[in-house]
Amino acid sequence: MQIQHPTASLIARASTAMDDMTGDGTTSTVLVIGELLKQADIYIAEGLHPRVITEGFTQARLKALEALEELKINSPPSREILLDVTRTSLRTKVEKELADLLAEVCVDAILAIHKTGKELDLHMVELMEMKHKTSGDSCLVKGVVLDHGARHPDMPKSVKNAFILTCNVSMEYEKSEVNSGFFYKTAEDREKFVAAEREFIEQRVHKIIELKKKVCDGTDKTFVVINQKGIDPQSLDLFAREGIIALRRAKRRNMERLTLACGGTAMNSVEGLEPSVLGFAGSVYEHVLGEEKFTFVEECKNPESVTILLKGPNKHTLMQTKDAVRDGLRAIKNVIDDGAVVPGAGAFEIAAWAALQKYKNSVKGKSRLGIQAYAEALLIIPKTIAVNSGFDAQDTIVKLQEAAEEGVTVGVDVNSGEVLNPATAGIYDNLTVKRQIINSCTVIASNLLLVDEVMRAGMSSLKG
Amino acid sequence: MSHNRGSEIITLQFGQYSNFIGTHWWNLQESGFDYSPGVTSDINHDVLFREGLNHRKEVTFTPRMLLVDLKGSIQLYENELYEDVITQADILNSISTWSPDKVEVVNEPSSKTNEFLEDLKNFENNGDGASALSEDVDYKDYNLEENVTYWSDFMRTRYHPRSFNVIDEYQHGNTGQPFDCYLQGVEVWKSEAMSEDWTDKVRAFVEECDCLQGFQILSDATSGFGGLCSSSLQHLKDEYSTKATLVFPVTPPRTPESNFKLSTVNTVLMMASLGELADMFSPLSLSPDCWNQNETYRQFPLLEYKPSLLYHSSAIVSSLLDTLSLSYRLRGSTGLSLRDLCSFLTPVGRKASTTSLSLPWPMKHAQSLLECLEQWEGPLSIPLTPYSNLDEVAVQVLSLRGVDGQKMFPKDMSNRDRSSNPAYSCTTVNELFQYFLSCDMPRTAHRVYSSSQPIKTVNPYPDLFSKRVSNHGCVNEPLEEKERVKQVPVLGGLHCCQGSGAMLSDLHSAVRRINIKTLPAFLSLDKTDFDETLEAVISLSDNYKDEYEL
Repeated sequence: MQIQHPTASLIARASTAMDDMTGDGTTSTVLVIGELLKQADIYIAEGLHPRVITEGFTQARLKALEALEELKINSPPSREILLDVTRTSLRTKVEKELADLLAEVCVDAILAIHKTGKELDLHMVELMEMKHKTSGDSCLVKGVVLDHGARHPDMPKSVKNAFILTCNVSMEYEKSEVNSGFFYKTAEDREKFVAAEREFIEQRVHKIIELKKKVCDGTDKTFVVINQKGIDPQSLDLFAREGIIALRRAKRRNMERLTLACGGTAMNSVEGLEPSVLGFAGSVYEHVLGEEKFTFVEECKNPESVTILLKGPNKHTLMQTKDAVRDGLRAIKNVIDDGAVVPGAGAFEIAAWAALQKYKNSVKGKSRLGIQAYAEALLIIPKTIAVNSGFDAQDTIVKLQEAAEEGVTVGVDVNSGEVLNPATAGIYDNLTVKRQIINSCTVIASNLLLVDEVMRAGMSSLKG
Repeated sequence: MSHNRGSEIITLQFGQYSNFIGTHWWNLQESGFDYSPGVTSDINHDVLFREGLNHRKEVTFTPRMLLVDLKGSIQLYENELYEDVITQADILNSISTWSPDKVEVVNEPSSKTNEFLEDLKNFENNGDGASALSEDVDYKDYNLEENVTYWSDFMRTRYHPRSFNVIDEYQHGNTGQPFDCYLQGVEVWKSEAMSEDWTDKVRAFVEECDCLQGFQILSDATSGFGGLCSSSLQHLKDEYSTKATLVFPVTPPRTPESNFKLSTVNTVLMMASLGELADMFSPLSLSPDCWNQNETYRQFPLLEYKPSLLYHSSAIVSSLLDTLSLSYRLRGSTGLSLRDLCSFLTPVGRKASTTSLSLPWPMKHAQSLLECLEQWEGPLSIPLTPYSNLDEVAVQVLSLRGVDGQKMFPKDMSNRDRSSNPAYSCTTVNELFQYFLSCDMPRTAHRVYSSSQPIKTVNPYPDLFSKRVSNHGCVNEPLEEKERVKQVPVLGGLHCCQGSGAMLSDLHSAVRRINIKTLPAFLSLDKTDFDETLEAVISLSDNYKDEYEL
């Protein structure tokens, strides 16, 4: 997005940074910064110096963080909690049915690869797009999905109990890299030279076939070769005769994933091929859509890497689903990293408002006004929730404030406009998202308030 | 399975001018397709095109090509080849949040197309029954000179949806934030759209190939695309190390807005990286001195073109590319592979080569090739590489097309004459031309390729030939009435010569004259890095010095 105005672009950058850090809370950031400035403007118009307001903001920020610590619910990442958090995050982005489906998919994906005590690596969840059916058909594949298939008509389309060899070995005949030429006298001579060069590639293929025979002969096991380099038609032919599925030009990052999903080691040469380098998958099959092929490597024993298969009828739906899944995964990661969640539906903002109201009375001097402005600004979140659900903002806010002053944790019920207990409704937010909003919005708003004048200078005047 | 299977080449196009050239080139190739059964063309179209299948189970034939351009530089009309036709009901059904009766569909006004594209669409939809229309589409005067703003305005060949890549960060024609600095291109490469999606698309094309020969790359040299091209070349080198890369950096005619200092610095940065990364590169421009403040343009004796018009100049460059690429596109075992071509033309690290063109190859109607060559004076062709000339050519590859085997020798020649001239022992156009060259330029190593297929100059190829060229591409003397030139013979060449070295040292001194500190776009460029770049260009040009014996 191209934003010309410097203030707007600063806010937009804060929002982007928010997305980079936590994967959520971008809209909240913009809303809160805007509201902080708006509330401050009321006092500045009355002649209050911006410096005093920012002092109030700084104090209020610390208090709000305290309120956040009090409100948070420590919990181990159980499936239920994770589902609740993901659902809360996704329902603001896609429609309800899809959000619920994707939440389950995301949580199951993370649970499949998460090992307690280890840092969670979201790259181990691959997103694969397939232009097919509707977004409701997206699902989790406990294995790897490759976006290409076997290039030989005689290779089997589906095998069970397959050994997987992942390798990075060129199996196509090409001239050596150094400047070289054949010197030959007769046509037969030339043929011989060509055959000799080919022989070299064929040896590699035969080594792999040997291994296949060693592990598969006499059993019901099958063999799949997935190569990062090319495999030419002659080599494919040799593989096909042995009933081996061979895939060429696999994505670099899939090579890593394959070994994590199926086990085994990726080989960079055909030297030292032995059964221990092989991975294993219960089922390998091909799915053809027009000219595109997909290969599913599924039923892995103990996958450390899984794939979320995104489906949708068109590019736009796919992109939307993909963004939603990314956000969902981030939300889950945040819960696992935080080890805690915060009640959602505006509950934190109301609680922080109540805490700040009390705190304000203990502060002497004008900075109290800053705290007041800060407390009011936070209310923009429940207000927006109420307005977006079609209710009167003031009505809802008053109800919430009444409840909050009694010290009850409450949020907005988007179905009725009344108060509700977020915990019973299963609405939770990420702790780190809220913390980031408090921190970055305060800093950005304070900085903007302290700016007297924005001047525009640029490279354009130096051009020519 | 023919023995030619598995020699695919993937084409990459970066930037607006490259895409203009590319569009013309693919159009030229498609117009050369011969659909009559039983005829096998001597050009193997499978090298640059791929066969595919769309969702309607129809077979498609589209270029193996990836293009990159800025946002707003493509006026895309719906891609009927791969997209399904979307009806109103489909749209209503796809919205799940509201029931269909509550939804109102407001259609975006369909973008205005020009007459040529309209006719083309009608022609394609009518299929076989529209031969009258085909004549129209091929030869009607659509006044494309004035109607072409984007290269998609004269796109006749349909591309695979995977071919399109748009840089969203920069907008075409935006003077406030132009994409005119090499470093911007390097930065854009790091975005996900390029380093993830684009590379994945390349991989998908490579995966289809049985035995990829390499990549041929067209890239704008004067804008940020140079940086993008160099970065992607580095990627190709890492990922597909054994594949050959042939790069054509192109310099578009200058526009009033463009900054020539900036363009020149961009060019030198690109050339330096090409010297390191590419297997061979050959700069293309219709201007012989595009690094000077005042530009002039090459003149062709039989062409009348407007140099400032991208649509015209790109057509000339594309005819050159279509001709010289014959060496790796010919059917049969006579051709050179892309790697062999590159290594043949780049002895002792002379990676820059010079291109030249003779459009049309001037043969008179009743004249034979032998007579034509015997009466020839001056250089065979005009260089299209800036600053370069064809002095002291060490190695060259020439491609001649459109000259039939039957037109080799004069018909009314007695047997006695035949025996006296050794040229008559030649049996093919190749051999005759090769024989001529070995007499004319005895110190040069030659390779000659020829195809009997001329270039078909049907729409949307501009009619830029002078009055002296007849309908079938012969030079007329005296003038005769004509409607439109339908095909022309062409000679194209790639040369390894002193001129290329002169070009590099000229570029070097042009950049030396520029104070880089006055260019704010290059503030972040380290002085020592920049000096090293210049050093690399100079050492590349040193390879052309005489003391290195071949």
